[in-house]
Amino acid sequence: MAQKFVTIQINGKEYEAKEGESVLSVANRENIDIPALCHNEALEPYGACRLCMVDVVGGPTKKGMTTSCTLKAADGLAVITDTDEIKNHRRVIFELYLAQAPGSEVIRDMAAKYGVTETRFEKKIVPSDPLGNKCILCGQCIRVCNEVMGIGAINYIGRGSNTRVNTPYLEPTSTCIGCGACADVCPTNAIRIEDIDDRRVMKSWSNTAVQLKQCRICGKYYAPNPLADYAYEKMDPQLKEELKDVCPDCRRKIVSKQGVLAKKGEITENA
Amino acid sequence: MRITTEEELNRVRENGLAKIFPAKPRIAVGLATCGIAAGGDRVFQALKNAAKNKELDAYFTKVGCIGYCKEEPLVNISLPGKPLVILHRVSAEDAERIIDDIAIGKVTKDKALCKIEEWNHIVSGKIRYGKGFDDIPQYGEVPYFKKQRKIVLRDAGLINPEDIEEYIAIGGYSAVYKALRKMSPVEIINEVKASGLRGRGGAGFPTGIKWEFTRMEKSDKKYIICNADEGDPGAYMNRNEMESDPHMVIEGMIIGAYAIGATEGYIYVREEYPLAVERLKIAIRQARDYGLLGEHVIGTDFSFDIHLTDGAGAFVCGEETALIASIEGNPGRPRPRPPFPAQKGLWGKPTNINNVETWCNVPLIINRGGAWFSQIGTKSNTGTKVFSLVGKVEKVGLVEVPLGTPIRTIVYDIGAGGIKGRKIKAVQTGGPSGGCIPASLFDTPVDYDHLKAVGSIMGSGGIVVMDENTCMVDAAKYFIDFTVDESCGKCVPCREGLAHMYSTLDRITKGKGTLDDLNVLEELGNTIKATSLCGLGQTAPNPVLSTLKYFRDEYIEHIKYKRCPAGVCEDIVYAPCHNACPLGQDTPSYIAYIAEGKFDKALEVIMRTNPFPRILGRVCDHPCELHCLSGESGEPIAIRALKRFAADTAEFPRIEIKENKKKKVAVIGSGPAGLSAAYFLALKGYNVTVFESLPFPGGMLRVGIPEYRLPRNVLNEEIKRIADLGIAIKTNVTVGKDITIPGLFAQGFEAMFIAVGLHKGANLNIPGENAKGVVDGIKFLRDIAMGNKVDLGKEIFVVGGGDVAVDVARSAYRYITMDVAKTAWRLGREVKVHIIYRRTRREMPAIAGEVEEALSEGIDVQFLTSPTRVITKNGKIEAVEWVKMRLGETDKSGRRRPIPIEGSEFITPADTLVVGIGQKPDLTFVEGIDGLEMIKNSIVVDTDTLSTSMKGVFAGGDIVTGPSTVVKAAAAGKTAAESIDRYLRGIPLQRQYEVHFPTENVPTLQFTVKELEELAVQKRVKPKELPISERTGNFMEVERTLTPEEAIKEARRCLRCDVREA
Repeated sequence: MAQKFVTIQINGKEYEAKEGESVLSVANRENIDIPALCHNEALEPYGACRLCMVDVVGGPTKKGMTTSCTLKAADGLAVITDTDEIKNHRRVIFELYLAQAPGSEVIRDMAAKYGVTETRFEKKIVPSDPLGNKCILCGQCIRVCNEVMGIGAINYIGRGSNTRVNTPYLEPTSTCIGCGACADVCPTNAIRIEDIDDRRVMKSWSNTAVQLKQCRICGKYYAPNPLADYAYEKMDPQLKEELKDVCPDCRRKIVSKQGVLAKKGEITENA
Repeated sequence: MRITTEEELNRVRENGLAKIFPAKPRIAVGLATCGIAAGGDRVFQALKNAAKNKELDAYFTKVGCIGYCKEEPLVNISLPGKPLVILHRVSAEDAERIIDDIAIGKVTKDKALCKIEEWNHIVSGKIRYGKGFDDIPQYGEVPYFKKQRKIVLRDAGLINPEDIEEYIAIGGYSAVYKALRKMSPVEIINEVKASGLRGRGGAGFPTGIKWEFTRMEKSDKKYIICNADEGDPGAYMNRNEMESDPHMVIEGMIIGAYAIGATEGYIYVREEYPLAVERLKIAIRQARDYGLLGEHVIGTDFSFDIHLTDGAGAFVCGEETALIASIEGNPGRPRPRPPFPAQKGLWGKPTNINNVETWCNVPLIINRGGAWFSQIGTKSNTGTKVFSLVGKVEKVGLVEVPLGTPIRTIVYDIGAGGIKGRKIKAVQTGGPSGGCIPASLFDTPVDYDHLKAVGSIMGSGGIVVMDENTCMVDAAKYFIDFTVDESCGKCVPCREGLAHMYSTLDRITKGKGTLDDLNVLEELGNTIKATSLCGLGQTAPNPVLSTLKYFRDEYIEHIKYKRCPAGVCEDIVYAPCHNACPLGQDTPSYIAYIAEGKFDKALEVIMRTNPFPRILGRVCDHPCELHCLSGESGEPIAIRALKRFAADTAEFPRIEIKENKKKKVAVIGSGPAGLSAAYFLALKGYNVTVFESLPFPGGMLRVGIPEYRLPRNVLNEEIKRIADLGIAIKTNVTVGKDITIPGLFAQGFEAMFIAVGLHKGANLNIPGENAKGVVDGIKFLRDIAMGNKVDLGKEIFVVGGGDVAVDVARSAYRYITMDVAKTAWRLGREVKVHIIYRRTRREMPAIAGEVEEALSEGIDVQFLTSPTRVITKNGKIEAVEWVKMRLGETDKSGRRRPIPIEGSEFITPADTLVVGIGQKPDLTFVEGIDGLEMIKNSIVVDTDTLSTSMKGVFAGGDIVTGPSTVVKAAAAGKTAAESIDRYLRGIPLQRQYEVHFPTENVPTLQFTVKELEELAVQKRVKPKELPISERTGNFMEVERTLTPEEAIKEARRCLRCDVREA
């Protein structure tokens, strides 16, 4: 089915958008500034950080404030991204984040960008917090682990203001494949992962340790065992045998060598 | 048997009717959770046993709850051909005689609440029980039921909820039959739309439109869900609907499923409702057995079944997307909408969710039509709503009224007002995230739109009543505590914001808040409301925002004065009695000393903050007793009587004044405020002179309060004790005439305190009020006090409802009878005294005890009447024209405004009309001064320091506040003394308030278990009184001092709220 394009208005200017894509995506593409912490193009809209509020002023959707990550582009939709009301609420929300994640520089810088340098609320400082008092519970790590990787090694624990993210019962989990996607998507760089000798230790996730795979060519530990197996399953069957248990460096060598040989006509390309 | 035809339905109906009208007595006990909790199951068993022992053949069954929680356990008795009689407050001990009575064709009259001769189950039309039992009131005559309209609860408490045949007997499932056999889905949706039914879960979305959305979606599978996750504190209407009439819910769901095109339904009910779960299970099983659920419902092509899902009791699961997540086995966290459940709901399929009560209304709408339904309630809020009326209200229970009924009707007419007649301050509607609505807004119609407009919500229908003993800050904190616990934690404003709101409120209740906290609370609350993801966060700040709006002064009291007006907040309240006392008396300590028999110690404690305990022990309006915790479950301690006992009995401690500050202070007026100020100033070492324009000191204590309440010798002794501190009291000196304020400064007085009273009466402003025979009540009291002769007729009308009116009436009664020779007193009670008040007893400002005394003395009180003109002859009163009043809208004081009823005027002959409606000052004292700021008849002061616009001049008492109480005047005098001392010592007047608890720490008494049991039921002491027969013709004191035995016994009842756990 052909993608339908629509025209939407942001702050009075018209932009073309794919029908149904989020207003936040459009704004990001067009370099219109809307702060957001829980949004990730790879994930379903979540609507939890409440920073990306815009004011709907025209179009088919209900008027008033709503989150732009969940607001779908439709013909005639008109939004304003920085009304006084939005700015005021945003300020309060940044103060809440500053109190919640006092360890996060990302939050400090982001808040400062919007003019918030102090918080009136009591800072929540948990000694020896595995997330370094940086977590804002946006759930991106959980969602990437569940939705994208299909693993589900971590999730929310508790609820309300006692909510935390970690492994079940705060114990090391055998479910984790050590892929590190959680740390990649984390907007506040809260998740700590370290490779120690032959193991990858998910410091933030109850010190879950994952065995690393050793390259059969160079002997280097290059990726967690389960991740390497997971990736191996998705590989081109033609290459499988040759690349099994080979680190990216050695893999590159093999592949380039094949390329050179192919040019020489020694190997025909796959049909 | 499976029902497929109308004949089959009718056959089941006959079976059911045979159970409702058995050919023998039917004895049914209300056994919903509430009935069982009240002991209903024991009553049920006892009745069965008694019947067995006495060989009475009766049909025993259980029924649900009729909603009158206060009167549980309830038992229905229907004898063949007789009205159904509801017995109330039945205990197992009553069983024998109830059965005995039934055996001889009677019902136990003293247990009868009311009778029902016929009942309208609406879908079946009227069911007739029979006539008889003339001396038992009709159901509709019971005030609690009178203004209710039972639509949803039409069957509750009358049929057995575990028997589908009884439900069918009163018309049940006829709507399913009609809908499935005679209507198309579109016709059903149109009917529901026409009814105007809005979602009863709280948001009020039109049900018909919601159904249509789901119907329009194309899908191979659709679901409907019944949201039975009722979880607000104090709300239990859905529980009763499911426990008392579960088939009503199921019937509504079948019709909805058919209209929407759903084949499966879920009832999401919380596990904390085990009885509702059990009865729903039974009902679903029965409905399947009768072919109403499952394949081919009533033999049609439509198939539908219902599953029960137990919720674990998360408040957020009332939010539909969280509820769906929970059914799917995921954590109950909401997700953003759109997509709406109608598009993408349970298991990703189109889903329609309605609240229990919404489903309950559906069979009615189908049976009687949308047009019929839309006639009930108001235009955009049709139908009825069930509310759970709880909290500080006399009659608690489930109340069903048409939407648009004013709060006042629910709280006062149905709920009978505050507990023990206390003043209701506010109601909180809509559960923990609703707002608090002040009494001044009780005319607000209860519907979705009006409640929202005043900052609250309908919610699922909880109404929590709050009175003077409810602290609004504490209440807001309580509700926020709940929502903090129940927040799912997904979005930041709700998760983090509410927790910060809680800690701020907590700080305020501990006396550690700042005024800036209030702005932060408001700002944060608005952000949480505006930016939260789901309904929980969007409404959770309501309790705070509404109390900040309507009860901001209570917050300020906590912050600025470290005081909780309701006496609730533990960290700043030493004891509720102490907290309520304007003088800050250490009540628990002196009561404790009295209990130990240490009367001198008791008086010593009293004297620390009380200038004249023998006076206040007699005339104080004792706010302490209103807040006494003993009064919550029983009767408050007789604190005033105990104080009087100590002051009358014990030795006054010797007072030594440590220093002489050699500074002169003038006090103008020798009433309670002036005497108090003089007393405390003298203690601080100042040379005080009191100026009094009357020939005697005492002010209103002498010429306002009648002698039978405050004997002259007591007053004189108290004044002498104060004067003995070295205070000069100059009588017959009128400031403004004999000497001016500047003149006093010129004489070397360095500061002064104006404490003149309000010695003039207010006018009625009606024609003829200057006639002879129309008397100013204040002047009347003064004349009597000063021994002047007063002309009174034989029939005296006193206009007013305050203390002056009551004092006048009781004084007049004594005065006329004093002059025995002149009256016909001995020949018969020809003399009559009437108090005429324009509102009702509830609004009367006079001290309640005084009104009772007046009534017991034979004084007639007429309410809702007001004079319109005095008819005169030769300049003398001959008659009065009156008009009847009715109560209209609520005014700012929270009382209902009296409105004259047109054409209700009537005339009575009268020879005396005493006007006691208000007081104003004699303003002579301002002569000769400039720059004293006044508004109308009051001096403007800084309320914290009592300083006026003139340097060195302070003012307090009635001249500042308008007519008030003796204890408040005394407190003003005490404050003024403090301020004058600061002024003369050259330190800032403004005090910093701190939490200050007395440190007397009197040990508690040790009681045996037996003693404790006795104390628990021991009645409040009632001081001996002058017999009524001896109160004529004299002004002898009515109340007597307690004996030591009485006092000790009473003091031992004190709960010692001041004691903290170590």
